[in-house]
Amino acid sequence: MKNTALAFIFVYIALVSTLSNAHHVLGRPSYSLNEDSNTPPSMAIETQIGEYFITYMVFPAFPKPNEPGRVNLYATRIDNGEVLAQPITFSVRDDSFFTETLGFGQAESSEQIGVQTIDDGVYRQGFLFRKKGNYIVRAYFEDGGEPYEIDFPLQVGESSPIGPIGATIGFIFFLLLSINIAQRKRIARSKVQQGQSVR
Amino acid sequence: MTRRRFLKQLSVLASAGVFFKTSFAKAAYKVKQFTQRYLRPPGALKEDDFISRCIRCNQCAEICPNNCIKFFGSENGIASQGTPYISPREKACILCMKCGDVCPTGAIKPVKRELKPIVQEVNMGIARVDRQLCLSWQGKSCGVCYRACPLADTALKVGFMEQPEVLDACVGCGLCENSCIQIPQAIKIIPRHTIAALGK
Amino acid sequence: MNEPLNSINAKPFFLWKHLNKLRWLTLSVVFLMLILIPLLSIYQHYVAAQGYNHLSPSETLLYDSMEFISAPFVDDAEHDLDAIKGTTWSGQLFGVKLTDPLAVIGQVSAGFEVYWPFALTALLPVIATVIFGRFFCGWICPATFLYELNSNASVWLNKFGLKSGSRRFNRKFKYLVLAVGIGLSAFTGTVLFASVYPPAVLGRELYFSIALSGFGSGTLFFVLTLLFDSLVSKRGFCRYLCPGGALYSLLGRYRVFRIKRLVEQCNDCSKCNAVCEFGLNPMQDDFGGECNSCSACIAVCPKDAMTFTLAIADSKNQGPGHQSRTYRKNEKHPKSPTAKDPCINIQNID
Repeated sequence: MKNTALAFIFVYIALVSTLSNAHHVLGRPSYSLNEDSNTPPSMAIETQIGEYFITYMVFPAFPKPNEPGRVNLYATRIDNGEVLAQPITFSVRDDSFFTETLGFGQAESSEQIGVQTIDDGVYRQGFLFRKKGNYIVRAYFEDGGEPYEIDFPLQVGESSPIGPIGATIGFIFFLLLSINIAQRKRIARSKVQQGQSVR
Repeated sequence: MTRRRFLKQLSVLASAGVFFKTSFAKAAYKVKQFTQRYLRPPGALKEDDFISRCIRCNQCAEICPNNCIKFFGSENGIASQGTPYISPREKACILCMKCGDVCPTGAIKPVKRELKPIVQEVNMGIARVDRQLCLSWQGKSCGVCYRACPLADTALKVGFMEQPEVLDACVGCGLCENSCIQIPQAIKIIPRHTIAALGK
Repeated sequence: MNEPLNSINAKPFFLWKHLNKLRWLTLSVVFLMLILIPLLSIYQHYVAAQGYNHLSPSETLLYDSMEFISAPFVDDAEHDLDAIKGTTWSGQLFGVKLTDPLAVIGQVSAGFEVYWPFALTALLPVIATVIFGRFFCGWICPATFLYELNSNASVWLNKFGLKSGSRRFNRKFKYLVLAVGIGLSAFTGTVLFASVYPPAVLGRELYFSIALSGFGSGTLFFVLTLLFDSLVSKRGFCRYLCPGGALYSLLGRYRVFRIKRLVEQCNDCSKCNAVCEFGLNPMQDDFGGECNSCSACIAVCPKDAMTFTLAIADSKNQGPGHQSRTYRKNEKHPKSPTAKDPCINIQNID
């Protein structure tokens, strides 16, 4: 297994963050198979693209800055379950609100981190991030004359439990309620006055 | 980084990708669209009928005691936006059949919680064993999937060294996939609609 | 101004004046239920998993508080709480399945078939709408709760110079939205109303944000409608765009239970027009199918000149109120009533 440790320095503000529920009782989440398991907790995500089922795993599940980790990729054909055997190119780019959602500066920040061949049925790609934040790892291969590009999000470091969207919505609702309760009489009065002055 | 976020990003990326590819001199470069392997709740109608029947009322998920039903955003196309699905590796269906009872529209048929009606009426998909990954097939006896199967010996049997073999009665609940100790999982449900699409 | 009421006319039933308070209570309860039901369903998952000892502190708090709320009503939380599920879009109340008529219309147009067990769940709401008109919009709709708070907040912000929009469009536009929605549902084979109908969107988003930890795209839609209401047109979505409102206006056109002006008591103070959320004209007996029976005009009327009545049509314009100056000055030819009465008793409202 070849671990290529590459350094990335991205300066940006992560505007989009999400909830990360690390512990759940009901049913096992895919990243920790068992409380007593000796398997390193990993985050596994699946997708389906073209002819293939793709499973993508991150070790450790919540990578931290300046700690080596790796992504594994496993691809099987949908129709007969055969494993993909093509060299896969991995590249990484910044995933902040501006670059991804709004589409600015996507091309500049993309960086190739390695080309991997199949190893024991799996493609393994090591990484080391210097800054915490949200990244996108892209795996690229060609099969049957068609290009496949698979983008996976990768979060390095922790994110806040409530994203800016949730906070904004909560704030709006809170504001509406508090204005209406605190200014109840005054609003009722000015509603009549304003309504009458319009007509 | 949750699955939800991932899926949201996929949809954003897919749309952004299409935009970039078509607008910036790479018109000939056609990127494969992402889809997702998902199951419909047990007793669901065929995919097209299901989408036109479902009114997106969330009640199936509210009543699910295993909390395994999730909802699509725009990542699976506009038509299936807001429809329920199950992602078996994260949380699989325990075949309690409550969702069929609560579904007001009949998009999920009510099915009795007994062996025979379940085997006959429920068809979420069928399991497939990846023998390269499966510990039992690689010479280390495991058998976890067999123990997780609610229809053991009807849907899944084990042979020598607890090597699993899927039978035709498999309803595709996904409990085997959910319990598989391999990363990635060595047993996987192929959804009914995917099989139908392959058959065409 | 302080003359006794004309003794010929009976005073309206005294409780009508307090209906608006009851309405706010109903709206709040419905909204709270939409928050409580997802929480209860999470609690049910925990109970079903029998995993209390494995819960994190916040989850334990949720478990305990939901147990506290539900314990007096249920013996077996895991199964008994199944009796209350869903939202105003479609739900189950103690074994009775209730569905928004718009959902049935959307589904029938999407699938070209009537699934009777489902269609019948909308029977009760349809009957109620035929009798009471667009009461869902004023009394139950969870979006109305927020829209009214929003329009009240806009009124308050007006005092600081932040002008809220008050553009008027054609009310019939929402029927077009309904028709186009039915057409598109049939074309795409999917119930499109579910993603553009605010109460459905709101119920779903509340469920998503509470039980599935994350808002969907519907939140954005809902915030946009809030902005539309406060920047472009007061209660604009309900009045001009809402397909559900269009359906109820149609169904409730010949409603039996409606608000009426008692012309003998009216002094043309126009307070009723001022408080009408839907921009109707109660002072000139113009309610139409639009009126959602919110009873704000009854509550605000200083002369007790508004009441509920049983009739299948609004009375024709009864002219200026008999207590108004216009009427008294020129009883023979009451043409255009003056809108303003300088002696408005502002203390009386609320």
